[in-house]
Formats: sequence, structure tokens, C-alpha cells
Amino acid sequence: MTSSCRRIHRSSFRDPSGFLFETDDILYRQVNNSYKLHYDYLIDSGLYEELVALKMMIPHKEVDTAFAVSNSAYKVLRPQVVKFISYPYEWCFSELKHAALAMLDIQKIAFKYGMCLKDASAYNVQFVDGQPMLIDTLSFEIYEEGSPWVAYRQFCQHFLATLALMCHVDVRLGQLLRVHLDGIPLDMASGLLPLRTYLKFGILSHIHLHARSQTLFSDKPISTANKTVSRVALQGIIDSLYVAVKGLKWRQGNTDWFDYYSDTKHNYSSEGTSHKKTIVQDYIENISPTLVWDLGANDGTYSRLATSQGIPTVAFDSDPTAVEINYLDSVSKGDIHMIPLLLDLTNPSADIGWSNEERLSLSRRAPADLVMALALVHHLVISNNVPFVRLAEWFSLMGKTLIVEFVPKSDSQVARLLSYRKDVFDDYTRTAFERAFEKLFVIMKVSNINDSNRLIYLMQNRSDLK
Amino acid sequence: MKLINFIIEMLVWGVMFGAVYAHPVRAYLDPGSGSLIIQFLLASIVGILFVIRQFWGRIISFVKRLVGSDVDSDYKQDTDSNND
Repeated sequence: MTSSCRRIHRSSFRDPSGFLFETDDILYRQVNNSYKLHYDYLIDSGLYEELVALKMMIPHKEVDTAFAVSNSAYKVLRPQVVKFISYPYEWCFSELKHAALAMLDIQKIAFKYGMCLKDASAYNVQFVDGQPMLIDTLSFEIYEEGSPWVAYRQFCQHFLATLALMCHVDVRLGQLLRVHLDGIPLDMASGLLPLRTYLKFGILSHIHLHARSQTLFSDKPISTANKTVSRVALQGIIDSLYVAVKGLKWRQGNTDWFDYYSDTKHNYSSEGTSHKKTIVQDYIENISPTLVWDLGANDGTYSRLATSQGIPTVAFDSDPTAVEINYLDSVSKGDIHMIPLLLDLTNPSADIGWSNEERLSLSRRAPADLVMALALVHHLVISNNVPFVRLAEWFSLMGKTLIVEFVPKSDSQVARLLSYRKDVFDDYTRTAFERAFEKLFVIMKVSNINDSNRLIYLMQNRSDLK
Repeated sequence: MKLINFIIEMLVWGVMFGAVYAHPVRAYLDPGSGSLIIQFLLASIVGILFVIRQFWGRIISFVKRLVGSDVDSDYKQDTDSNND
């Protein structure tokens, strides 16, 4: 096999211990010779086995080193495939919190085996089967007596500062991670947090004093020659971070969307709701997708029609409360196939990071087998002025098949959207909708929801027919 | 008796070695000088707090075992009580 058919993962360049690459759409991880000692210890000590058994770390298989990209390879691994890669700025409060606790739990277990996490990047965690799992096999190093936790700053920036701001200031501040890819700078977090947080030991020490220390010593060379952190002290730091993270709670605020299905905000009778569920269920069974994206999923009511069939489903919504409720509900019900994520469809995640290739845009993570857009089109077309043609184009990039609901002007929801603005949407008709979508999709089925004028379409992407 | 010896030992080690002796830091991530300094400063305090919490945790576990209640993991407890 020549190295020309291997593609090194563009986000995998920081750690000299190894990197990810793809061959024929199969993901591999090269472990370099420089990491041999640590990798062997990870495997031989039983740490890897325990973390995999606890579903805290992604499993892998060792494959022939002939697959390696370079001659610096010690091993080549084939990790279990993660169905959908999400990023911390797409997580709700409790997803980030559970990822943080998982990271600290992993550190605690690693410590028992004489290893330590050498990085604590939130991007190394993914939600797999409803659990936050470490996906970076090369995150461990053999613990050296007396060494401080080198990933301490990263953990505080990626997790603690973000969670503290989301908890004590505004849950939407989690979006700062889109700008600050290496976590929120601690001086910024310290400045934004209210004074009362100085009374909380965890936040005082790991954010406020930590930020002060960073400012004081940022441009001063320091000698660590006479300093160390004992084993007990290191456990104390991890424990203190754990207590600090656990103490941060999500507080429900009033938002437009989270009670969308609970009262008069929507436009269905109970029979209509039930009929809509039957239609969507029937369409999903018709497609039998392996991955569903539910756009504008709200609390995941309709996403559950897919997850209940064991289909991994990413439920996107722009409302942090709706996503939080969906996540907590999924965790409490043991719905392991649901991945609730925060996403503003009018400004979806872009390609960001080094050379705009580290963290992928939503469209670069497409296509899904099935995209669902229920009670969404009228919001995008009327509230955001997106023409049907542009909407159809975007949907055609997102999925191979599409379940989309058309809400006509006669519907009270559309009337409500138009009540505060001039109606410039002469083309907002069923005919125009179908004409725009038929250019890129084949309409396979159309159903009218009982007790309403709404229509649900099942469409097949034309590019997928070729 | 073993428990008391363990606690005393942990307390002594936490205080004695919380702050000072030699160790170089080698990492591919920049741990940040300020972040290292704060760890050295916090070491003794959080070390002692950790030992106290361990001690307290053992008492709670002992009492829970006496009354026959389940000792669940922190993560599960957090998941269960996240709405409070």
C-alpha cells in the first residue's frame, strides 16, 4: 500500500504521539515510536481495558503496521467509528458538564493505574451511545511522582470556566467556545463572573486566583526546579475540580421554544399531533436510515420516533433550554440513540480552527441518511427571508432523503409570523414550494395532517439517485 | 485503627509534600507558568481537603452500608439530580 492513498486528518497535528488518518473512508490512528512506552503501559496496565469496559473510552483494534503513514509508526489502530462528531460549542450545559465529569472520572481511574491525562481538551470527548466518551487514545502518559497536572489550564478553560459562565451569568455564553477554541481565557471568565462567585472555593481558586496567577506570571520565567505537587495534592486538585463542576447547576429560563408542544403555541389538535407522528413514523420506516438529523427538533418529540427504532439521531435546535430538556429527558429515559445539539440554522457551525480545517462545518459533516425538518420551513422562509430555492439547495447538501413539513399561509402559526411585518411572500405557496424542491428532490410521498392544512413530504435527493 | 493511621499519614503527606520538591515539567501542551504556580499554591490546601473528603466519604459509605442503602457513582447521582 502506498502512502499516497492515505489522508492525514486535518485536525490531528498537535500531539507528536500520533495522528489520525483515513484510507478508503476508514479511520485509523498511527501511534508513533515516541509514544511506545506510554501506549504499552496503557494497554498492559489494564487501564485501557477498564475504561473501555466502563464505556468511558472508545475501543480500537490494532491492525497491521503496513497501514502506517510513516516509518515512525509503532502501532496502527482502527478506532470504533463515531457516528456523528459534535463540538463543545454545540453542546447544552449538561452535556458539557457530563463531559467534564467524565474527563475527571477518567483522570481518577488513570491515576489508580499510575497514568495521567496529558491533555483535557473538550474536543477529545464525544457522545457515543448516550455516554460522554474519550476518543483520543493517546491522551495518557505515565505519571511521574511530583509532577503537576499539565492539562489543568486546559481543563479550566475548556470546561470549568465555560460551565461557570453558563451557570452564573448566561447559559448562552457557552457559545464563546466558538471563538475561543482552546477554551475561554480565564481572565475573561473571571471578569465576567459575578462577585458572589468569589465565595465559592472551586471558582475562587480554579478561575479567579488561577486567572490572577496567569496574569502575574505570564511574562515571567519561572523555575519549577524546587516545586512539585504530591500525589495526594494532585488527587486533591482533581477532586476539587470535580466538586466545583458538580456544584454548577443548570437553571431553566423562559424561552420561546421549550414549551412549544405543551400548549396553544402550536397548531395541532391531539388527533393532528397523533396523525403527524404516525406519518413521520411511517416515513422513517420507509427509509430505514442509519443516521437521522432532526433540524429544529425542539425537545426531541419527533426525534424519538427515530431513536425508538434504534436509529442514532442528532436533534438540533437553537434554543438552549429545549436542547437541555431533550438531553436530560434522554438521559433519564436511557435513550442512548439521541444526540441533542445546539445549532442556529440561520448561522450553522462553520469550518474553524487552524487553516479553517480543525472543526468542521455542519455541511462538511453531511450528508445524513435522513433529514427531518418539521414545522421549520415557515420560520426559515418568513422569519429569515430564505427563498424556497435556497432552502431546497441547503437541504439537498444536508441529507440523502428528507421529511419536510409545509405550513401554508392559512395556518395560524404563519399568520402569527406575518402579523408583525409586511407580507412580501407572494411566492409562499404549496406550488412554489414543490416547484423549488422538485428541482433537487423527487417527491416520494405527501400526506395531509388531520385537522390542519399542513403537509408532510417524503423526498429523495436526486443526486443520490444517480 | 487502620483507618485512623491512613488519615494521619495522608494528612502528613499532604501538608509536607504539597508544595516543595524538585520536578521538571515536560509536556507537548503549554501548561502555562501561572497555571503551574497556582497548582503549587493550591496543592497543600486541596490535598488536605481531599483527605478530609475521603475520610468523610468512608464514614458515609460505612453508615450507608449499615442501613443497607445503595452507594451509586457520582456521575449517576448527578444525572439523576440535575434538575434541582
